[in-house]
This record gives sequence, structure tokens and C-alpha cells, in this order.
Amino acid sequence: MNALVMYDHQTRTLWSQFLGKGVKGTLAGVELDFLPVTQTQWSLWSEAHPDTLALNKGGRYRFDTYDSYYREGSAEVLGETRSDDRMDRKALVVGGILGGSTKAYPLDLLSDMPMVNDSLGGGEVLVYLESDTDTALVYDREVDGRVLIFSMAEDGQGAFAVLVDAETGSGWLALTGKATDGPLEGRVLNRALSHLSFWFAWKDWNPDTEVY
Amino acid sequence: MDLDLAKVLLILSFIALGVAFLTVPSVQQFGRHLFTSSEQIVVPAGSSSRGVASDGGDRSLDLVTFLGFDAIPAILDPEFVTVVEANEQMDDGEQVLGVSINGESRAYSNPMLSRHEIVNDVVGAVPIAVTW
Repeated sequence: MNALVMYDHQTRTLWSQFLGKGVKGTLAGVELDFLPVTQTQWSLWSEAHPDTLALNKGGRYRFDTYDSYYREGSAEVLGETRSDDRMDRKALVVGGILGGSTKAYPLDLLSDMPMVNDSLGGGEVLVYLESDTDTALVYDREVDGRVLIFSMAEDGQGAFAVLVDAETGSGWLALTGKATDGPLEGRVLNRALSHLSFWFAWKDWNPDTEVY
Repeated sequence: MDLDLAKVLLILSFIALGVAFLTVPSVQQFGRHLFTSSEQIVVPAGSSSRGVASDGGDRSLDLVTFLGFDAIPAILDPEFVTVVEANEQMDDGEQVLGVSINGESRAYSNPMLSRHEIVNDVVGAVPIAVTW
């Protein structure tokens, strides 16, 4: 299995990035809280969040040193722990985690069908892909104890793509999960834990994963 | 054997070895093991399902050291710019990790994250580690 191990300055405990958990040292077994993150393109992020700040690159970092790694087929550095050929190892998936269950949604599939109303771990989720930028998000689609079913609205593209729920007809910005009109205006969908991953890493760390 | 021929063969074999290290995956793996240490650790099952073996118990992992502490320097005191300034530094299509907490938003450039792996930050009064 391949994933970053990091340490904290205070106790020098080693932490697994993928598990969000101390694995060696005085804080072994302690879990960090995961927070939702959006992997996307700068233009889309800055349009959706015009007041955002950006990490200062100071004129450096013009290229990503892993560009060739993203493109090539190899898992590198330690290879794979187990084989699972439901997908190519470097296929991109958005992995969702809810109620102790995990499910991988292939980006290839979502690009034909940008939005999926699905169930996961006893909860109800909405998986959304902005396919021009490979921006994939998983929301909890239960609001005030009511499960909403979403479809894409006709208008709005990119950072301003809109989802409409069948129950109230409210319009929701797909990228931020915020309702901008209708009876539920002002409400924000909770993100379920998810992140973009290569298939080989997702299935190594989550051996019991389902695949959509 | 002719001495010059022996030299040429020696040089050719070094070149072949070099090419093998660069291109043949199994040789690459062997090369890495020369420079790494590995130990088996047990991750306690704890309270959630994270890192738990499929039987619900502790999970054993290989902890492999390629690079020591701080070989990849984490960002401890991140500096930020506004959208207007960032537009001078970033292409529209540049990949970022975006985070919004308590009404504050941040974008972390993936090319920069690839060189540092971790940013320690405080967003919306919440201390976070952004890891890549």
C-alpha cells in the first residue's frame, strides 16, 4: 500500500495520511477529523469562491513534478498490495465513505452521467462530477430528515451549475451545495467524506469497497 | 582478453545496469530496497472503521522509510495572496485543493503541494493539515 506517512512536531508520532490515524508513537490509534476538500481547477474554485485566498507560489512551482506519474500506468513506489481488476489501476475514482461503508465511483462512468442519487452505508448520497475539470463531490442528500432526489437544471455551467431537488424544486449550486432559490434557499448540503483517488490506492486501503 | 575490449565491455555493462535501473520496474524496486528500511507495525482497531482489518481487529501494515524526517519540507507558515494576485501566478487549469471552513476559503496549488506534501494552516479558526 502506498500513502504518505507524516509526523507531528510535538510527539513525533507517525501518522498515516490515508487512514487519518496515528500508527506509531505515543498518539498511535488516535484519529484526526477528516474535513471535506475539493480537488478542482483554479478557475472553477475562484469563480465559485471569489473571496478565496490562494497559497502564495512566489513565482515558483510552474510544473507539477508528478505530471508524468499521473499519466503513466504504473502504481509506483511500492506497487500494489492486492489485485482487483474491476478497473485499471490508474483509473480515477471518487471514493465515498459513509456509515462505515466505502464505494468507488469511476470518473469515466460519471462523465456520461454527471450526477448519481445513491445509497451508501445506510445513508443517502448525491455524487456529482463537473467533467470538464474532473471535480467530483459527494453530498449527504438527507435534509431535515427528508431524503431529496436531485437532477441537473438546464441553466448554469461550470462553477454555476445548478441541481434541482424533486421534493421542493429548490435550486442548489452543485459546486458548493448551497441552495440559492426555492423553499430551501440558504440551506447547505453536508458533504460526505470523499476524495479523488487512483483505483489502486483506493482498493488497497479499502479492501471491502463497493464499486458503483 | 584484450584490455581495451575489457574496458569497453565494463563500460557497456555499467550502461546496461543504469538503463535497467531507470526502466525495468523489478530492477527499480530492487534498487529502492537497497536504500530503504521496512518494519511491520500494528494499527490498533480503535473506535471507528478506519484502518481496521476485515475481521474487525487490528491491522498490520508495512512501514517503509524512503526519506527521513523533513526530507520533504512541510509548509509551516503558509503565505496567501488574493484572487487577483493568484491569477498572475496560476493557470486557469491548474489543479488545486480547495477548502472552505466557517466562511473562509483557501486554494492550495497542487504543483506546490507536490513539492511540500503538507501545509499546516488555520482556516476559519480551525487548525488543519492539508496533505497531498
